[in-house]
Amino acid sequence: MVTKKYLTVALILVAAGAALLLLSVDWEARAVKKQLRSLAKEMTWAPGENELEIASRIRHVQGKMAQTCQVDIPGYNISRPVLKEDVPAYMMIGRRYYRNLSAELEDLKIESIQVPQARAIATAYIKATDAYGQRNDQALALEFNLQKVEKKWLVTAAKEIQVLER
Amino acid sequence: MTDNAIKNFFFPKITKRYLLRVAVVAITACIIFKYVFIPFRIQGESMAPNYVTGSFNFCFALRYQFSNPTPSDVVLVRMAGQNVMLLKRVVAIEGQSVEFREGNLFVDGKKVNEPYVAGKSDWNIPPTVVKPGHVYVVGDNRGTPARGHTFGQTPVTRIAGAPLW
Repeated sequence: MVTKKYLTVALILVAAGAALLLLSVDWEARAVKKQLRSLAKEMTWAPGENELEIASRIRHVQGKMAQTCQVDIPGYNISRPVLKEDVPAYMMIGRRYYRNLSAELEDLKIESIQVPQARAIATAYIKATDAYGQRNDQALALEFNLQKVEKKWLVTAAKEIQVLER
Repeated sequence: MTDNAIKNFFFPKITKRYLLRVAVVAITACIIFKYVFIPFRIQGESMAPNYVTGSFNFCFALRYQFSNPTPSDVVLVRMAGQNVMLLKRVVAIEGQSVEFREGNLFVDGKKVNEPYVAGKSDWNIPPTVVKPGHVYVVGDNRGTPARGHTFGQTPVTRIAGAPLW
């Protein structure tokens, strides 16, 4: 009987702990972070990938962007609104310019979130080799604006934060 | 040391006191290595030959708690957080004018002797006045063209600390 009583108390405590944990997690913030991490993962390519893989990556990137995404990254000479349907063209230009590229998001933080809008900052660590075999690794501080459309967080703007001003 | 002492050192008795000691050491280490001596690994050649890629160091986060960076100090500049930072050298402080002529650094119109810079440089950057509350930072490796080098002025608040060595 004693064992049963202790077991019940332990189960109640575990259930309360789990409930508290579930309630304390900001699920929207988690979804935003997951979406941005996934976007960075898809912005990766290497020589020798097959066409299907490339097409799938491009489709995934496209699926994470809003209809129009304002991109301001002077470090890569990009400062224009990018339409969702133009994403494949830009990705193909990028693939021609960089033989391989990988992006990782570090220090990803949600600055503000008020559904359906969210703002996040992160340091993108980009490792790239250009068409001539020259390494061009860069770390950029980026600010992302996202909007929730039909249960999905889409990137509406990506802007470079100027850490060093010339 | 006797065999017993060695045995006790490597396989201590798990007592309340021992567990408490382990917890105190772990918490202290966490605080020290997260907020005081932040470990980091250098990636990139921006500060070569003084700080080379792959080397390990600690960022002393309390270095500028009660003072401001001064010219020739090596500092770590925070980006979005503390996982990726820029390692640069301060060459000028607020109100000073910075200029590069044929690879030579001029601060307030005077040529600065930079023994830490190795190799030749051909940088030509017009004069810039450092804004209030900012410092001008640049890497030691000026052998690469200025276009591909990350440098400029940054708010003092972005400085996370200085390397320990």
